[in-house]
Order: sequence, then structure tokens, then C-alpha cells
Amino acid sequence: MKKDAAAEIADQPESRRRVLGWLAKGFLSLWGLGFLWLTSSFLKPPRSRRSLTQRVVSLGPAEDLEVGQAVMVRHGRDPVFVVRKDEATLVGLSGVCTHMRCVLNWDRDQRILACPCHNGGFDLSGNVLSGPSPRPLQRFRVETRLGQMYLHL
Amino acid sequence: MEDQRTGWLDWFSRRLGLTEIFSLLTSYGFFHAELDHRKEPRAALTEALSRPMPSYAQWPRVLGLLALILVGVLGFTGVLLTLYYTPTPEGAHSSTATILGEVHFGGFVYQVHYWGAQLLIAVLLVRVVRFFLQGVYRAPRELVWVCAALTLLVAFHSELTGRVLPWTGDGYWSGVRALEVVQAIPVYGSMAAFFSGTQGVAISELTLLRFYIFHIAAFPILLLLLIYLHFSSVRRVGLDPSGEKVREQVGLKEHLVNLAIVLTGLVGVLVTLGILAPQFLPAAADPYATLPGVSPPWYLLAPFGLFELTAGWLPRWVAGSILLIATTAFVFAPFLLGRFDGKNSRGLLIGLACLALATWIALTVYGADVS
Amino acid sequence: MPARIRLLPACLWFLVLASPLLGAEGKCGLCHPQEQVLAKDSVHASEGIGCAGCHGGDPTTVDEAAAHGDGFQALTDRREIPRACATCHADQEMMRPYNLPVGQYALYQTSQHGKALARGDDRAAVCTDCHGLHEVRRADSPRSPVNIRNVGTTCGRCHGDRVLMERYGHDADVLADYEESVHGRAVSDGNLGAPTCINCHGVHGATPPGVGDLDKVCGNCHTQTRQAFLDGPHHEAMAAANLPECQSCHSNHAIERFGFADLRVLCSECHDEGSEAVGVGLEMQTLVVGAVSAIDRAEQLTVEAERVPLNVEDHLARLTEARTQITESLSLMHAVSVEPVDAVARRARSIGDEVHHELTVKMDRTNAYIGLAVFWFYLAVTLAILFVYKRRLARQRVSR
Repeated sequence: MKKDAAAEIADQPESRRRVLGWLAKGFLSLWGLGFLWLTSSFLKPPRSRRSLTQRVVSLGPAEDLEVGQAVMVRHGRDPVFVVRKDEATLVGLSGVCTHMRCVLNWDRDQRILACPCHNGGFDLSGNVLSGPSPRPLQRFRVETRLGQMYLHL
Repeated sequence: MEDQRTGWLDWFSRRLGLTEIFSLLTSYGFFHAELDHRKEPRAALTEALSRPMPSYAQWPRVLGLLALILVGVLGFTGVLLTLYYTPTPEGAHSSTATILGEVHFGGFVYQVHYWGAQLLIAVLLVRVVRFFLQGVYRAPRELVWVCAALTLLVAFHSELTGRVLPWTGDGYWSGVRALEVVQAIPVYGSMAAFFSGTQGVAISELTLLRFYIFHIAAFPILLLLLIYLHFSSVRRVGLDPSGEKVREQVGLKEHLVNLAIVLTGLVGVLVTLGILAPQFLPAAADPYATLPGVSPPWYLLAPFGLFELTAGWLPRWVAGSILLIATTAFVFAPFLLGRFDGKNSRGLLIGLACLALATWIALTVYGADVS
Repeated sequence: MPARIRLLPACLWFLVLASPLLGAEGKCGLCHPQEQVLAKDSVHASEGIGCAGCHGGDPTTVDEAAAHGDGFQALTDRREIPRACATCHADQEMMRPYNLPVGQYALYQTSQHGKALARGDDRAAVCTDCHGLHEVRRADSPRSPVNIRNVGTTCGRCHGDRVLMERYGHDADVLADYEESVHGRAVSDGNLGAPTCINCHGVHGATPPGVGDLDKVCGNCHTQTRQAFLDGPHHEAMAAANLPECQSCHSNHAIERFGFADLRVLCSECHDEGSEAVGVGLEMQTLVVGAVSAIDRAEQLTVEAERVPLNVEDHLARLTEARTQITESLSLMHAVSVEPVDAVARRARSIGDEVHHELTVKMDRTNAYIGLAVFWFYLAVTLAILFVYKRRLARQRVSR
């Protein structure tokens, strides 16, 4: 009897110690798991927003843009206007006035880019038609490939 | 099961020098005893463990351990960083910005690397001071001191090459100022200029690339070599400079637990620093526009101050020679300090050391003021 | 036309064709060296028009009587100069090869300068006063007095001369006012699209402004502003009161970039303080100033955010749009009505607030600090486990 009792007492602390031991090991293994998770997340390349190669902007189907219609593309700091001159030609022009950097508007009736600040106007080649702007607009290449429009910045 | 385990161990031990390979791993500080390569790993370990093992995790020996762990952390985070960094003037800043801004945990790895570097230099400095105060330079421990001093110098070089890599305005121009100081030191300066490929003090594309190679390959290899030599010497001469005090002796398990405690504490400090005091990324460097108010790295402020102080009346190469002599004396101090072993001389030595330290601090303050 | 002058074109053609034989300057310079030096660099000389082209006479001889002989005009009387210049410069066939306009003389005769000259006042400006005399250069040469950068100085030679202007009752501060103004500074900073004297006053047909004359000129560049003004109540009221439109608030020469602190003071110049009109002005001012400060605040934050580093290109783009809207709202203010200004300023302000909010959220470190606290907890538990284990091992060791 005495031996059984003693054995029982000897058993209990042992099993509790073992449970605690496993808990502790589980807890400590989180370090390893955390470290692995951190490293593997780091190694996965990020979805790059600033990639130097992201200089081509997809603009959607070519038939979405009618002749005489323009779309303003916001990519990067300065907006760009893409205008359909005729069935076969698309032009890309900077959307920022070269006078004092106001953002331009597309005037559909006159087919010019108009600046609301000092009556500036630019034609579809970017040349200054009116207003105080000293320089023509920067032009960008717009390409149609397989029915899709792409703006090259 | 026991037989299976010994089975594959035997398979390997008949084909490889397992004890030799294992001792290479442990030679970086798991325990101080040398392993007998003629025995099998088990037997060699048992024999090594039967000898008493002093506890590392006692003040102040933990400094060496901290330094080793920091080198490991820096190496690991450094490798992670190299996976995204491009070492060209055009790509350096933007790739660093990508790491900090876009890569998952990129900022975290970057901060840990930065603070790890600062902590490493701090630890190595304190360690050198501790070696000096406790006389860990007297025979047969001269090489222990030399390794510690050289490790500190290599760490400075790593920090210098590393701070230029993000190609920020501060980093670039502090690197330029540092090159000005280094190139004024005779012999060593010209050697450094030669290796860096600099023409003048401008950091060109070639210099950046060489700094990168030094930072990720040359200096780490040098560091590992110095650490190995250091541990090898410690294993040979023993940890106790004075045989009088009784050190606690621990088993392998306890020793490993001590290591784990130190490692955990260090990781905690690094993560805390990284999150509470993160380094920002200033604008990219413009090599054609000098940024005003940028000083050399803090450890070069004293040499810079010396040059500024002696600018009028002492030729630059003389001041540079003073620096060269001082640094050489620092590295090879054990061979010069032999005469200071008596009781009285000890006081004189401490006094001289304090004077040297005070001069260094004064020059640093002056250098900071003037730059 | 007197025979003498009709003869001049013929002489001119002869000289132009024969100049390679004669040498372009001829021998006039032997007695008139100063004038020859001046004329050497002029545009007339480079086109082969020598001294005789304007003065007539015979350039091949040094005998005074012969040189100053047939067809010679000294042109020392200023009143003769416009007519002399017009001999070629109003002749379409002569100017055609150079594609130069020929209406200057006609215009000049309608101008105040021309009219004064016709009255016999020889202090009035003539061609050479502005274009230069013997050293006349092309207008696009930087050394020409009529180059855009030099126009102010050239006009100012007379119109900034206090003594001269007093005689006519003109304001002599105009040059100084203009040079301090937004337009003057723009020109001196290199923006050659900014107006100089001639853009508003005209060149050869220069006439001083009267009420209703010059005001419409401002609208040539500031179209939106003028449009808004015409839509508002100020237009009719000021026309009825015979007040100049733009000049009343902005002045004519000393035009400054408008500061909003001045608005109430300005409105009070005509309206009673505390009146509804001044209230409208104040309300517009508050709206626009509020929007500008929101945008400025957001822009400051982008500078900070860029250092983290965050990608702020998108935010900067939106702020540029917002600033365009502010400029639009400034134009709309001239209709002195709150609604249109409110609509635009509100949009601009909301962009500023949105950008500021987004960046604040992105730069928020709360999550990092919470993560740090969790980490510390984790660290503490780990260290506790390790220390407990260490103590157990130590006890085992000691008991052995």
C-alpha cells in the first residue's frame, strides 16, 4: 500500500512536468515557425508598384475610344491624355500645361487640349495654339496591339 | 531504433571525418574544448564534455557571445538584403526603397541589419575596454587581444562600406568625408584608395561596386577568419586570465540554455530597436551637389578633428602618420604593455589609457563641431 | 510723294545690287567713324543697306559737297524719321522677301506718339527711340531695345523720366511698378510668355488706356476670369459708374499676386464694412483659404511619407489636380457669387483632406506597436521558460 501511494505521488509530478514540458516546447517552436514565416514572406517578390519596367499602361480595347474622343490616364505623377485622331491614329500627350502646370481639359468640339488657367490651347501634336505656354506638350507613344491600346511612358 | 540511428552514423563516419566536420561547427563557440579528431564524434564529445566547462553566460564574457551572434544575425539579414539590392548608382536607392517599402518584412530585415551593425560595434568596443581592464592581453593571450582589435577595425570598415550602399545623400557624402580622412593616412590611405578604385574622393560606379563586394564578401570572410583564430586561441590558452577565482562549471545542456537566453535577449533588443527607432530613407544622392552639414562617420570624427586641428602648422602626412602609429599601437598593444605589469605601473597604465580616451573624445567633439 | 523720296527706292536697289562692288559701308565712315562702328553690327548692314540707304547722297566719295549732294537727307530732325523709315518699311514689295509687316507707319500715325509728332512735338517717341538708331538690331537679338526682355526698360526711358512725364501729366512710376509686379518679375525670371508693355498697350499704335479700353485686354489671357466677371454683378455696376474693370482692384501696372488677407480691405473700398457684399467676399475667401491650407497640409505630409519610404506619386498627382481647381476657383471668384466658388473649393479641399487622411493611415505605427507589445509578451514567456529550465538543470548539477 505504502509503495503504491508513493509511486502515485511520484507519478503525478512527472506527468504534469511532461505536459508543461510539451507546452513549453510548443511555445518555443513558435520562434522557429515565426522565423520561417518571416523569411519565406521576405523571399517572395512583392507585387511591384514601382518597377522600372512598368512603363507600359494598358488602356483597354481599341474600339472603346471613338474618333475625337480622349481618355485621361492617371499613371505616375502627371496625367496623360490619349486621343483618337482618326481610325488608325492614337496620340498620347502630356496632360499638364507647360505654362504653370495646370491640368488640361479635352475640348471635343475644337479638338484641342485647353488649359483653364490662362486660355492656353494645344493641338493634337502638342504644339501651342494659344496662350502663354512657352513649350509644346510632351508626346507619348500609343500603340494598338491585338485590339488593345497601350500607352508607352 | 538505436541500431538504425547508429547505422547511418556509422555509414557516414566510414566515409567522412565526422568529428572534424563537427568540430568546425563547434569551433565557433559552442564550447571551448578541443575535440579529438581521431575519435568518433560520440566518443570525442563524451571526452570533451567530461572536462569542466566554464559558463559563458556570466558577465562579462557574454560580450564575445553577443558579438558572435550579432555577426550571425548580420550575415543572415545581409544575405536576405542582397536578394533585392542592386549595387549601381542608378539602382541602389530605388532597390533600397523597394526593400523598405514593398518587400514583405523588408523594412524589418533592414532595421535589424542596421541596428545589428550599430550594436556590434558598440559590443566590440566595450569588449576591447574589458580586455584592457582585466589584462586579457598578457601572455599567452596576446593573440586574443590582436584578434579582438582587428575585428573591431574590420567592423568599422564594414560599417563604412555599408553606409554608402543605400546611396542616400547622407550616406554618400559621409562616405566621401570618410575617404578624405582615410586617404590622408600614409601607406594605408593609398592602399585603401587603390583597392576602392577611387579617383580622388568621388564614389564612382566602380567604387560602389567594390564597396559592395568588400561589404558582402571580403570583410565577412575576414571577420569569420578572425573569429576562428580568436576562438582557436581561447581554446588553447583557456578562458581564465587569472587562475584564482573558481568559475561555475556547467554541462552542455545548461550551456546551450545559456546561449538560448542570450540569443533571445539579443533578438528582443534588436526587434525593439528596429520598431521603436526605425531608420528612414532620405532622398537619393546627387554626386554633383554637395550636401551641406554632413560629417564623417562618428568613429572617424577624431581623426577628422586631428586633421582640422593641425591643418595650419603640421603637414597632413605627419598627422596621418600619428594616426597610423596610434592604430598600430592599439592593435599590437600586448607587445608594448609588457613593462606595465607591476602594481605601480598598473596605475600609470590606467592613467595613460584614460588620457588617450579623453584625447579621443575631445578630438571627436572637436571634429563634430567643425564638420 | 516728293521726287526726292521717290528716287530713294531706285538708289536703294542700285546700292543693294552694286554693294559688293562698292563695299557695303562705303567711305562715309572716314568722316563719321562713330556712326560706322555702330552701324556695322546692325541688321541693315548685314542686309547690305549702307548709310546711303537712309541718308541718300554718294557714299563713294570723301568730298563733302559731293557726298552730301543729290538726294541726301541728314535726318537730324526727329520729325522726319518715321517717314524715312516708312519709305522701306511701309513698302510691301520691299518687305516681302523678309516677310516683315508693313502696317507700322499707318498704326503709328494713329498712336499718341504719332499724333503728338504730327502736332509738332519732337519729344514724342519715333522709330529710332525704341528700335535703336544706327545700331538697329533684329527684335529677337538680346541686345535689341525691343527684345521682349528689354521692352520695359525701353519704354521706361521716357515713361520713367519724371521731368518728361510731368510735362504731359503722366505717371512716371509705371516702370518701377511694372518691374515689381507679377508680370514684370515673370519676364525677368525668363518667362517670355508673360506680358510686357506692348502686350497691353500695343506697339506701334500705342494708346493710353481709357475706361473700357484696356480692361478687355486682360481677358485675352485671363479668359476664365473675365468670363466669370462678366457673369457677375460687378460688370454692369462698374460700367455704369465708369470705373475700370480689372484695374480697380488689381491696379494696372503694380499687379501683385493677390493675398487673401487683403480681401476684406479691398471690398470695403467700395462697399460698407459689414455689408452683405463684404460678407460674400469673406465667405469666398474662407472657402478658398481653407482649401489651400488643406492641400498644403497634405503636401507637407507627402514629403514626410516619401522618407519612410512610401510611394506618393498617386497622391502628388491628386494634389496637382486640386491645385488646378484652386486656380479655377480664383477665377470664379470674380463673379462674386459663393456657389460656384464653393463647389470648386470644396472639391479641392476634399482632395487635400483625403490625401492627408490616407497618408496618415499608411504612416500609422499603431499596428507596429501592438505587434511589439505582443512580441514582448512572447519574449517574457520564453525567457521565463528558459530560466526555469536553467534553474532545474543547475539544481540537478548541484545535487549530483
